[in-house]
Amino acid sequence: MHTGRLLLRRLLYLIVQLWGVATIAFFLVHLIPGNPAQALAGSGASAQSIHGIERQLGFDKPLPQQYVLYLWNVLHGNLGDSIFTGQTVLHDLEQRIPATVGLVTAAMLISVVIGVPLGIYVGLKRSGILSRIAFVYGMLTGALPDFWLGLVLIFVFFYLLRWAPAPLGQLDAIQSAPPHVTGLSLIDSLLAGDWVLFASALGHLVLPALTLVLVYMGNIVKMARSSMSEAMQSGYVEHARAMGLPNSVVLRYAVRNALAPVVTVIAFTYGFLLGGAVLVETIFSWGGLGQYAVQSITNSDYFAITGFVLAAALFMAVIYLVLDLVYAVLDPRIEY
Amino acid sequence: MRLVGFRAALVALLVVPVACSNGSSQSSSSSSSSKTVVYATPSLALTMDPCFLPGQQTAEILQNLYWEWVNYKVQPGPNGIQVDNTQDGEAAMTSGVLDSWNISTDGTVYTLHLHKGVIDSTGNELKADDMRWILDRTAHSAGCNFVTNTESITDVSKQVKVMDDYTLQVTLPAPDAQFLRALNVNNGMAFGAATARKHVTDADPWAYEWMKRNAPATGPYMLQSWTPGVEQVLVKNPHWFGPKPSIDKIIYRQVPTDSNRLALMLNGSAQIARDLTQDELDNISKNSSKGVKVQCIAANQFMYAALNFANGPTSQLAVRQALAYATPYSDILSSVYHTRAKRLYGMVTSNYVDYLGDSAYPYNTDVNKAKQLLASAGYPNGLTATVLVDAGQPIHSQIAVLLKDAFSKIGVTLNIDQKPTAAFQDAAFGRKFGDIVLDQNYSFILDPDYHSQVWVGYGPPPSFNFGSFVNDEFIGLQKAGVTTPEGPARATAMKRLQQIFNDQVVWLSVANAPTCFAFSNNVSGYVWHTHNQIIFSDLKVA
Repeated sequence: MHTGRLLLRRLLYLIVQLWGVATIAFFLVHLIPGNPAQALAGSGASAQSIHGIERQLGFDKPLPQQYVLYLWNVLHGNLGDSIFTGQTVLHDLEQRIPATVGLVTAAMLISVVIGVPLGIYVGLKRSGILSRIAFVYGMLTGALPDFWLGLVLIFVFFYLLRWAPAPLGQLDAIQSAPPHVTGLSLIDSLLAGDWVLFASALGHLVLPALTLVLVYMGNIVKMARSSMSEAMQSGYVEHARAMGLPNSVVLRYAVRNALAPVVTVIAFTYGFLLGGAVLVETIFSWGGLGQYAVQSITNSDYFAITGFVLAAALFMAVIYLVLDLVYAVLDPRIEY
Repeated sequence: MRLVGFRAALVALLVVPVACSNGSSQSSSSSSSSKTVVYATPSLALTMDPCFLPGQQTAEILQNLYWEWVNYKVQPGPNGIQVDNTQDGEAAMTSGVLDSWNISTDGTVYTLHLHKGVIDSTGNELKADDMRWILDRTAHSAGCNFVTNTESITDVSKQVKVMDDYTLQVTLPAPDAQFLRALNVNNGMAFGAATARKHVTDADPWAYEWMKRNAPATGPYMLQSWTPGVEQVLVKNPHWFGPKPSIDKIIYRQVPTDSNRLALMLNGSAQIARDLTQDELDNISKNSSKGVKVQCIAANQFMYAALNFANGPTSQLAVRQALAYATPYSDILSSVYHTRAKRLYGMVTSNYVDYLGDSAYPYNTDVNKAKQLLASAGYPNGLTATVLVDAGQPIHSQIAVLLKDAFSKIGVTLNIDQKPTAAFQDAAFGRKFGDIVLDQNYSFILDPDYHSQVWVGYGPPPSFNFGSFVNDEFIGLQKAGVTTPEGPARATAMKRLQQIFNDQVVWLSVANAPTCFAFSNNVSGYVWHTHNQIIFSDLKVA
């Protein structure tokens, strides 16, 4: 199938997917016990005050009516207003997405740059200290809770060793953010040519990114290792060797074939990283989408929660679309 | 060879950024040497509109941006901390945005004199008509009209008259023993109404939308920047009419994880931190050599267990009394609060006006007496009860466990129903719980009548009267307390109110919980105010 048709079909799916996600999210969020009007009114508010706020927010209307109004607004690009920030949810998301995408992308890049070669290497050489380390790491990685690891890293590198900066987000508390271009301090400071800020932003990125890398890179290492190992024992590699092809060529064939499942795992991991960012951002005061989601849930901020869920769904859908395209490039036999 | 190169690359990826971060961490420590203070807080203010104060952090920021109409006189308190004088009632109020006031002999007409030259951070002056507008806005706003209700103002157009630019007259239907103290409640604070009124529209006659994100500051500080989810930066308000504050800039930095707030204090990266656990406060105290300290005061925060009067075994007085005698008060103070809390004797803390006294609350831990009372209520073999607990408050869970253990000694099996905060509120306000609700709160006005109306009010749910306590004499005293002027008659009525509360065991009065902050040693001058927030202009930085 041509890429254009694939894109068109996936975009049509995407609309249906997002409608489904919006619907489920809307009703699930309203099932959560809690009353945002009560939280907004604060301590000591009377029943009359709380009912008044409910009317102001439109929560006194029947749920189906609220749902239809919500869908209508979403269709018009209006995700509603956050009850607690006072901003449109779209504006809140726009402000926070760069921080989150920057963090998870950095973690993803490090995971790929280290994890894929490491996995391939230990797939090739199944003995040796590095293979044993990779094996133990692969076993441990699934059992490490990201929030716990983040706290341990902060304790060791910030509190004990004083190597890392304070877990205060993207920059030190007393530093002013660079002029807003992308919303990610690391990139914006680079664009502004401010090397002090860039160094600070890079330093602040280390521990949260490392937390995510250590927890989520294991899947990539394990998949690369087993794929490579399998490829090296395959018939086509045996055949290539028997034909007297040089090792570098045999290796290239094996790597190319081993990469397809690795790419799938990379794509999944990218999605998992977004989930992981929810707690890691909170621990490192990152100020991104994950922290916003936690705060929204704590405050029963209905529109903010559904907005986050929609944004996350869109993120995942785009990743899977890219995955399909990359897959087609890696393996021309695949048709959609 | 290739393996060596790979390992080197792996090490470089991890080490180089850490080297970068080392430099940036050094720069952060310079904050402590300037008049800039970094304050580590679990969350930021969510709005700039004082009418809506969701959460302590919103209240704290807004208390520093806006100013009160009147303030409490300050006096020496425990642990070397200055405190609001709350025991002298209306007589303890002193100037704020209002310079002075006169009260008619019958107590129904207040003539209020505004300070001349209250210029907000955008340069507009607050005048009498602006105060009238703020009162009107408060009365018309669902989130804060409890303030004007407490001030006995229900119709501003009829009750509030602008006499001149700096004078306002408020006529009340009857004397109001809490009027001045209600003017100190933070939901009704003086903000730059002259500026806010410029943003009124037909659709939004009270400028709610504009006030969400904009702060026309009348207080010592103004909002310099707000990065959602990251920080709010406050700097000195150049138009502030009071004494110049010592601190130039406050960086109110969101650090959601409490252990990180502790690490920041110990590392010198933050100079103030709030909402630390008791263990973390101990850690600060043990590390005084690192230039940090804890300041705590058990003032007006009360930890209580509301008992269900409507249903179940706790609807019987003898059962409630048995539970009050079975409560392990000392254990809770020592093991949960690490001795930072005090006993709570009854409905209110000891710094309330017309406080009945510690000895009027007869319930001390006495297992034998508790068993006898339980048997007399028809439960010689004990009973099963359920306590509703907010899972978002770890201290509440600890107390629930201690209660469970203590109650088991008298044969009461206590089931702990722990719910997330929102679900907890739903169950408590919706009266969808078993026998006991464990909660903590505080009153803005330290008056038994105000307190009882909020926490044991006679209005319909949802209200804080979780246990649905109803008593005719109690309600009569509550109603009379509003309009009875301060004096011996009111004092007698207020004491009777507290006596009924004690006699009926409306709550298990668990503890007078502390308000605590961690400071670096170069920050001093903390003053306890009724709202339990830090007023930054009270502080001095060495």
